[in-house]
Amino acid sequence: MSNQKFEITNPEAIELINRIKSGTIWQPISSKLSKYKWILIGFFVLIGLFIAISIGKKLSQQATPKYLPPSLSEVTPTKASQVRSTFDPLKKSIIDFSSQLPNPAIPATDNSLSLEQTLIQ
Amino acid sequence: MKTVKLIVIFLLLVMVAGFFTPSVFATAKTDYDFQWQQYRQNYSEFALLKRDYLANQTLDNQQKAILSAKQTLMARDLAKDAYARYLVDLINSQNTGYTALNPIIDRLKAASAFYVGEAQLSQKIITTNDLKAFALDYYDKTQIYDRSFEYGQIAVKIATLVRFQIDLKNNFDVLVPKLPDPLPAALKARLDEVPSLAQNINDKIATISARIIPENEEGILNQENYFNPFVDKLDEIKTLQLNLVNQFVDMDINYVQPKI
Repeated sequence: MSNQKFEITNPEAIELINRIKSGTIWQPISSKLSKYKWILIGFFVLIGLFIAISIGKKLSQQATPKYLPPSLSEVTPTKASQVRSTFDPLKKSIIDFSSQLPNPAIPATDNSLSLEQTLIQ
Repeated sequence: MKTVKLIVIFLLLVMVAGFFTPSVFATAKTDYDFQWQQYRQNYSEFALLKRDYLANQTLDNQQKAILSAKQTLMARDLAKDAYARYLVDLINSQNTGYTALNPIIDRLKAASAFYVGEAQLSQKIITTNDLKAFALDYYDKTQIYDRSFEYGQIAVKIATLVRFQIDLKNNFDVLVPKLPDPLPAALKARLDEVPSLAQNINDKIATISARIIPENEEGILNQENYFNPFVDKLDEIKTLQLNLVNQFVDMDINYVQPKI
């Protein structure tokens, strides 16, 4: 087994390695990042918030209600079959019609508004 | 760099606003609710300032009271304008095209235009005498326009009943071709009765529509002598329409829908 050893002799490469080791190469980037640190943090927090809300919304839409068996003391009534007619919505509208008047109430305003002394102030 | 920063902040604000802002659409009702609220706020403020002025009649108190009075007058007349438009909207929303209600719609529109004019006119008030003269003049001028509100109330109810009549006819026209052929004798007798029953309702609606504007427009309109007779008639028509729709429901269930 030959024990090969690479030796870097290029002065530019040596300088680059030294800069990486000393950390001076990252200084311009880190200074820029620190300048806009709060904007970036705020941006990522908002993005995170929107993604979380979207995921939550999606999950809540997909979630099906769990079936829970009724407790023993409860009696489940048998559903009676209801025959529905196409006239049912109209029938309901007629039943719900209110003949009471006045409706909507007429605005009660002061039609003799002045600075004169009146009996009721 | 500063511009980029501003753009990023602006976009973020737009995103947040767009995400959380609920959609609100202005309608004739929301307009009226807003104007009515404005009047109530302004009126309570005016009442306090008027009390101050009457207790201590300084020029300062007088000016404050007059300014508040002008704001209240404007809010009052704009509330009346919004109310007239709200009634027109309620009538038109039934989409009946019932021409017997057109005179009422015209009156409400005239009232709306009149109150907008009054709202503008009230802003010319400068002195207490101007305000007094405006109040005296206003009371006489508005009698006829205020009446249109009472008429509009009845017209809204009638428009709803006409809508039911139209819907009943449309539904009935869909039902008839589905009935068995040949028609059973009992069903045929009931079907033959339908046109006369519907006509009876139409006649009653036409009769009360013609009575919305009373012969003596100068007379007093109140709950007892104006609204209550209409309530009785509206209830009568409602009962007739309910009987008719019950017949249609019965025909639909027993002759059209398949037996289970």
